[in-house]
Amino acid sequence: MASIPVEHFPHGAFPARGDDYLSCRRGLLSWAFTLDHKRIGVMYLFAVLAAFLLGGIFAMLIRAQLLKPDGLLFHGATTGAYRPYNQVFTVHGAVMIFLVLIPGIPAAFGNFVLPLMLGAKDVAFPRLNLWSYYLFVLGMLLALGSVVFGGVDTGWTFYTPYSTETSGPVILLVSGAFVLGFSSIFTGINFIVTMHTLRPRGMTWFRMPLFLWALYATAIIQIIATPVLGITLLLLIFERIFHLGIVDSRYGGDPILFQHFFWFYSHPAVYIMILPAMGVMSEVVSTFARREIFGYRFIAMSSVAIATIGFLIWGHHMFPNGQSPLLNAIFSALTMLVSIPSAIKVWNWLATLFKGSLDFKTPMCYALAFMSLFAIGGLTGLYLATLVVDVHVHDTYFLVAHFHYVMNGGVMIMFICAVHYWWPKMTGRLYNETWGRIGCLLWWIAFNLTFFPQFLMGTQGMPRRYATYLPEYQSYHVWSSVGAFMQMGAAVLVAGYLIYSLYRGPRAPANPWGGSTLEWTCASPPPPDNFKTPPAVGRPYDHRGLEWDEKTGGYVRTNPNTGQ
Amino acid sequence: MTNWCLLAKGGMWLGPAASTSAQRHDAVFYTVLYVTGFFFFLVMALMLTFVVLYRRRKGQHPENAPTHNTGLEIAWTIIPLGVVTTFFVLGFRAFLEDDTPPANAEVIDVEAKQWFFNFTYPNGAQGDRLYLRRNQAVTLQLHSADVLHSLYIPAFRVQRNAVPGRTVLLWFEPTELGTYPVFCTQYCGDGHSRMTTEAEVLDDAAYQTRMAELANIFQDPVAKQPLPYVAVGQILYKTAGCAQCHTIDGTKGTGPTWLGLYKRDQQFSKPPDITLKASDDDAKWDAYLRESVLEPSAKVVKGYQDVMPSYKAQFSGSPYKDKKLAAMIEYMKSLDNYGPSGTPKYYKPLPVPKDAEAAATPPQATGGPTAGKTEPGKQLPPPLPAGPGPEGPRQK
Repeated sequence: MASIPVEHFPHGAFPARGDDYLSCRRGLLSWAFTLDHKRIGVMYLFAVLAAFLLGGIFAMLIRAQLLKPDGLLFHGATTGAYRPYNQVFTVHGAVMIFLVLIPGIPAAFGNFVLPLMLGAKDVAFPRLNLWSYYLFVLGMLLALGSVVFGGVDTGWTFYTPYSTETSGPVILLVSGAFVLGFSSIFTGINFIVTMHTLRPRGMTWFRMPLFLWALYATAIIQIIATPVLGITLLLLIFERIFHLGIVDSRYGGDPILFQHFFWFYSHPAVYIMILPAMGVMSEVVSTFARREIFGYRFIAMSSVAIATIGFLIWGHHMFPNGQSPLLNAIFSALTMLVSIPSAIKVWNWLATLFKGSLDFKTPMCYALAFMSLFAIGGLTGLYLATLVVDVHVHDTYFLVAHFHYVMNGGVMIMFICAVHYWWPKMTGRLYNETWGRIGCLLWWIAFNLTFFPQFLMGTQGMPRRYATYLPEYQSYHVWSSVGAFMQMGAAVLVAGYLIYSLYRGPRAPANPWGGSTLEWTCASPPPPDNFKTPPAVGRPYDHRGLEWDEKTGGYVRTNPNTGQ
Repeated sequence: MTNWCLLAKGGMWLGPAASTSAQRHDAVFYTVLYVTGFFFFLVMALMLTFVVLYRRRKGQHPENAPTHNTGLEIAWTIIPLGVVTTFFVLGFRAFLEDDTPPANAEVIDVEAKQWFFNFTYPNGAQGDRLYLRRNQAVTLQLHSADVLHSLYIPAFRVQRNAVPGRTVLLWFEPTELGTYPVFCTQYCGDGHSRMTTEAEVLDDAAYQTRMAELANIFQDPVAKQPLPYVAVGQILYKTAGCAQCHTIDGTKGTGPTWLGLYKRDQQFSKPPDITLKASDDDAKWDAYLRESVLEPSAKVVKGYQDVMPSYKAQFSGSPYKDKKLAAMIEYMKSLDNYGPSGTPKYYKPLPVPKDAEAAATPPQATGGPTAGKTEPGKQLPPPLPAGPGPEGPRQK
């Protein structure tokens, strides 16, 4: 008979200073050499947020440039005048992809939450975990070094032969991405082994919270696809130095081959980004609807299906490059197919709202924002999968808008959602709900203002990566820029009240939202070893018996969750 | 005049449709738009309904909320599957038509370079603008001289990449007279956003006239008289893509300015130990200028990058093209400004070609015999008084 796992911290009591993972040891070295998955997760979060700020600043530069058809910031009579703009969008893309979206949810929140949710004391390989963090920092420094040493103007896709010919520290940036790949692989290995070996008694595969299923599917992609990126980037470096003639047409190579290699990683990589975001969505929707998630097995299996089909559709990035119609047909059909598991998830989240008891706390507001933005992002993917339509909108702002609806409106909105959802658990503090909701609404409006006009101008033919454009597109660009500046404003607002909460926010209870997964049975912030005894594991989304407790301002379980 | 309202531009979506492929595309696009729009509003309507109906009320617990329903799961797997299968079939069928040129399609060769397109028409004429005939299918034969490019004409709903080392075909049939923007959509470096031109759809008569003019740039289309070489060179400077990188007013571009280029002391980064001096003789300078056009990588001026593509396809291979090169070099030389008050010091104008001679040399359709390559000087006709020719006759 399992007992109610609150033995460390009876209700009404917050952990004493020195009992939680943040204050148990002090000093810079205690962080630098920590093996605690929670501290490593926090360090990742810090690094990712810093990169997010940097990528955001570069986004503002892009949008400022595009306020005027001839360019506001970088303009001139000669083509060389636009090189800085090309460097800016390259940095924006590379930083956001490699330093924010890919590590964002899995490395920061995966590390923090995975062992807690699983009921384990740590990940399987804590030292590897720290090593992967330092690889991340090294990769980040290399990538940012390329900005300091002159800037790279290849675009984040590094397409040959331009990337092998252009001047600038391309090798530095590519090496950065190479090292970041290893960090990603190590994290993936760690997660897979943890989920296989460290599940406590009672935590069967189908009792794992859906965030863990999402992380598992993500980790599979990380360890299978990322080595291909590593090989490709090495090949690019060798091509630049030794002119091997494999992907550089000047020496007899084939640029299309590079695109195949590159997208074999980089398409599955978008699922490395979106799957964990979908996992967060499943957690948040269930918690704030205060009911069991609808269609648990379908959501879990759709993650695996996305990870599998996601490997087979990279060719849709290359529809207009002259590849054979047969190849185009196959990639188009498979791309259509990958939309099905995503659609299944959306329907199941929707059904979870049905007959729930919906509490519109800040994370739930972000979840609803995600539903609308991801619906647009996902459905516009079908336009791009439809061959004849893609031939028109490929490499236009339609594609830019689609990608940002999925990546910014999907992944980053869920990343910010995750920050809010697990903030009390990570920091032990509560932020201001009113400001949280205002921030979410502002962000949602600003986001749509930024990217919806881009769909329109994309179908009207505005190409991407243009430093200058025809005057007829100006109104769209101006609306888009205004929206982008508003997003920056929303981000500053969110950062403001979150930082304020660190110093002045009220202490957080163990379970402020009524979450039913195991991380909410630990104190906020959790003790360094998470669980003194293996926790009792029941069904993951059983909200029966979770009752509001006025004294602690949180939820407490009044009946044991025995999995019946 | 900028229209600030996003909705009032003759429809929110898509621009003017001016080809048969545009009709095929738009039918599929709107089908996808309406179906996905339906599903989007369905999801949003359900979400908002649930948000209102099931908002948390005090003391209320969700009762008997269903946790799974296999029938429903299968339904919302099968129905979207049917929808996307339909999209696939519609999209693929239209794509196949867009991918298979009809037998009567005329072939226009397109060479994409940093940062312009060079179109070669069936009669051998070349230029940086795309001229088309209404209701005449054309196949564009795309290739690249340097890096990846892409040719995109939104009004025709067509786009294909120009891949170095490959030839990619693209066909369409314009249906409406007019002028439409042409873009490069594959990022290709510094001048990517400047790599734009226009496609002009003409009726048959106007197209024939235009082609005849374009085929003989040595003749003034208005005065029906031969042009001086320097004037032809000036036209080529604009239409062959030189102006993208080389200025003629002394400002630094991607490449060296042409102002005062002739007989200016030159230092090279590649090969490093060679210099060219003002005192070097005319033949050496002529050879250098020819080489910079045809083999730009052979000598790279210090302070500039080795990025210029070769212009062999446009300026060598037939007597006509050799003559174009001579005109080009003539124009470069005319920009030497070492004389008093900016007048050329070294440049001595070549004679204007004799009237009918230029017109009588029909340009070769595709790459003439290289064996017939001669010194440009040898083809020159007897002297005639130099025309003024400060402005090219071809106005855009």
